[in-house]
Amino acid sequence: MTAVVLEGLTKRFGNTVAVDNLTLSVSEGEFFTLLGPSGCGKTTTLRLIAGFETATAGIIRFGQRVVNDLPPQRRSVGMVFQNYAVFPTMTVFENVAYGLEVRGIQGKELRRRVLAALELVGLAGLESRRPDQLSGGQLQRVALARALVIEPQILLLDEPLSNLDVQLRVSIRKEIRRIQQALKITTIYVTHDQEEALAVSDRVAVLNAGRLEQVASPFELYRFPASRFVARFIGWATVLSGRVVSAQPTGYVAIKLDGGPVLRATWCRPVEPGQRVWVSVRPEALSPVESSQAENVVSGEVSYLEFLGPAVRGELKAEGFAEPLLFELERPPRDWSSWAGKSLCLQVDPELIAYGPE
Amino acid sequence: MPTLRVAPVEAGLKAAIKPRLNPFSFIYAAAGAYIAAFLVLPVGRILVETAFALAEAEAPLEPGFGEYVARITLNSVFVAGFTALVSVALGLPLAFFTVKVMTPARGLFRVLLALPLITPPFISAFATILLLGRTGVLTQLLVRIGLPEVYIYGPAGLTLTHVLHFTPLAYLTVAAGLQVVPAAVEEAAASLGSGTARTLVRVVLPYIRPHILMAAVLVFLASFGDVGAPLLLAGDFRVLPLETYTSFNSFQVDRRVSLILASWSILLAFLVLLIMKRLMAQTQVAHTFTTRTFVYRARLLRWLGFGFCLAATGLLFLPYVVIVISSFGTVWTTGLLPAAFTLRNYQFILTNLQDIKNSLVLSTIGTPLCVGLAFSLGKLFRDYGPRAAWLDYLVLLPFVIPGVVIGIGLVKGYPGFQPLGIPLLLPIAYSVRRLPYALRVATAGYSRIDRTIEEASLALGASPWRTFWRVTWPQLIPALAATSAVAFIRIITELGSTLIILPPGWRTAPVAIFYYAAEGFIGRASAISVVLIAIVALGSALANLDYSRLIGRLKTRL
Repeated sequence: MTAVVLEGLTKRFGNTVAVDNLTLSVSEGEFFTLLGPSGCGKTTTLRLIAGFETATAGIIRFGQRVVNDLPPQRRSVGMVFQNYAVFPTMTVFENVAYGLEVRGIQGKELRRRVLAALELVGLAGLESRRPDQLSGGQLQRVALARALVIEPQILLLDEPLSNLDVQLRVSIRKEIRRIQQALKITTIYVTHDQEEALAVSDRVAVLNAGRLEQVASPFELYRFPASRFVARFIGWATVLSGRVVSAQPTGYVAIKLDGGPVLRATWCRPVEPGQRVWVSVRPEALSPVESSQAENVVSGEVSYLEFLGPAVRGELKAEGFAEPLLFELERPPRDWSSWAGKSLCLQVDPELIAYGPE
Repeated sequence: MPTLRVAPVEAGLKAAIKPRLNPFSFIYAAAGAYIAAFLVLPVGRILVETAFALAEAEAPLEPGFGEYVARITLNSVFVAGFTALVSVALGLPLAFFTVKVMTPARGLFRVLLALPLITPPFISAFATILLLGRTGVLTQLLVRIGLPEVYIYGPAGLTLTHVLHFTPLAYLTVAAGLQVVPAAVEEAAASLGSGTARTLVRVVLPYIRPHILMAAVLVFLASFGDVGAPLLLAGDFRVLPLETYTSFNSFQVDRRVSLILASWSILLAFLVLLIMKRLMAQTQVAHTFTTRTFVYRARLLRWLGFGFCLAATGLLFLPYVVIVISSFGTVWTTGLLPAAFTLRNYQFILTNLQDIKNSLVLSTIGTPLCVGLAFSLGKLFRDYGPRAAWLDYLVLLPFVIPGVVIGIGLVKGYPGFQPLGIPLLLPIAYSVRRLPYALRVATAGYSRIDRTIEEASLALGASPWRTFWRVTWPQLIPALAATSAVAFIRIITELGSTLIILPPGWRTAPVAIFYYAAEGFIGRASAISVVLIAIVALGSALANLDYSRLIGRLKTRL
């Protein structure tokens, strides 16, 4: 188990900066996720850590050791690729045994460890199959077993689930998390799927255009996004602009929305009165009330409605707001569709409002 | 939080440039040295010697030399350009009917139309003489009907031969383009109410424009660089490669003439190469999605296609039919068939096997050299990517420089190079000259291997050397077989550089065909042609086997 530290890591391809001065540290045994839209530099970062790319600047450390100049085959990382990269000319057993053979392990010991790894990922009994006789989910397990059997210091996963269908994705991510917890292996996981990231990670780093936006636990990331980008990228939210009216540390912060009413939010980070801020309102923060006289109430006309099963999601066109307010109401009544076009008063829960300096 | 220490950019750069010495570095170095010694130096030497010869200027060149060069260049351009035009005009409908229309027997047509490509052009030229020469079958037919004789020794015969020979090249290039037009494009056009003709002209043709241009360029180059057909057919019509060859071999011509013509060919080749490289980038579109091919179902089109394909295939195969008949004949001068049938020509060849043996020996040495080079360079291109682009240009040169010129460069650079009594210069010339063909197949083999599979091996701790042999190589074996077969059939039919280098006692089968044809031993020339065609057909069949499936089957059986 090893900590991974990136210091000022930068990677340029010609004129494009894929990774821009990235500094972060992953603790021993942590499940750490790099999350961001496509092209944000998350895969490049992972490939820098694995050694398939050479950093333009900055330092990569495994524990105390700087590994920048170490070729990939000497870094002792286990890597799982998006397209599995299972060796097509070898059987399942040979695939998993490969890394052990490289390390000079043979005979009974080799067999024992390969079978144990296959057992771990739930592939016992399939060791003599060829890759073209396996399904996508099984190939993914072979790739995982192959990466784990060498007992790597660090496990790297590059969008390992993106080629699987939804049901399988959910069950395999549970399994990856279970195995990671059992082995306590330092894991760096790359995904563009924010739900996946929130579900499996200890901590998540959100990247945007090669830069680090925020590193936090999934809960913090959702509830206290550090920037407008994170607020928009993680989950659904209406993100507005405003000016701080008053701020009480550990109490409430009152914010006058541009062209709209004053909203009260639970204090989450220091701001000064008069400061320009962005304000993020989660859809589930809104609940219907009778009158618009109560505190933190927004009223307007329902401009759009869609039925999601457990809830109804809609947009409220509120007077003076730059964009419609997203709301989500659980356990919708039978006549939910009659709300369309009607005016509605919605109260906003201050707990579910986040803000931050522009 | 760790203290932020940004390593200077130089450190990162050093890590990138730092040579990671591994066994491949030596292989790359060897391949590079081979290319330098047997391609760059000989070609460079021609250019330098020409410059010196011109600078010395002991005596002025013959008056009118400039016009002479201009004339033969224009002649070559005229034949090559006309050939390209007609070949594409024929290849385009053929490709359309066999790819886009449910033409009856279209699978068979596809196979047949590709066949002529494996034979060398001088066999086609020889067949043209059999068909339309002074005593040719068709000539006699024309005379009987009362039509005038066609005089084939000149631009007409040359162009006709090249069209018959190179139409399949145009056909295959255009067909490859048609196959990657995604069905969705044509379906979209159809859904918008566009009819067949409009869709073809407005949507399909623009889509495959790079392929059409590429087909024209490939045919142009092949025709421009060919020396075999002009040797037999050009008559008084002078073309560039033939003049280069004759001026090199003649003692009466100013020594500088062959040099100047060779340099001039090289400069033209560079020019064409630039155009070709640009087109290649456009034709090698790799779709990430799987493409279906849209099929036009009109019944009329099907039968139109069948008629057209049948006629074209018959026309393209006529030369080979005549050669086979002639190889069993005695004298064939006055009738629609030879005067009598005989096996004597084959008996003669069986008792005089030296030419074929020479060809086989030289090809057997040349093929591994060529294939080894192709796979080393293929790996190098894979490892270094765009950083090796200049080398990619370099190794394409033999494709555009006529074989005669490469032969001259090698003979001048390494005169009398014959270790152990084997004229190694010939297999070396072959390996360099046919490298572009082999490299194309080899790189296709490499590109089918997912890079992340190799990365997975590296991440598991295997060295690059081990990764190559355990992970990459087993996947390359089908490509190795195909590359070897392609290299072999290209090498055994080589004529241009052989004519120049030709050491005594090492006459090859192609040279023998040329010799017998020129000396009037038509039956013998036909018989060797048939044997040579049989050898390359066998090689081509081996090249087209589905090796991955074959190996899989063998493995499951073991």
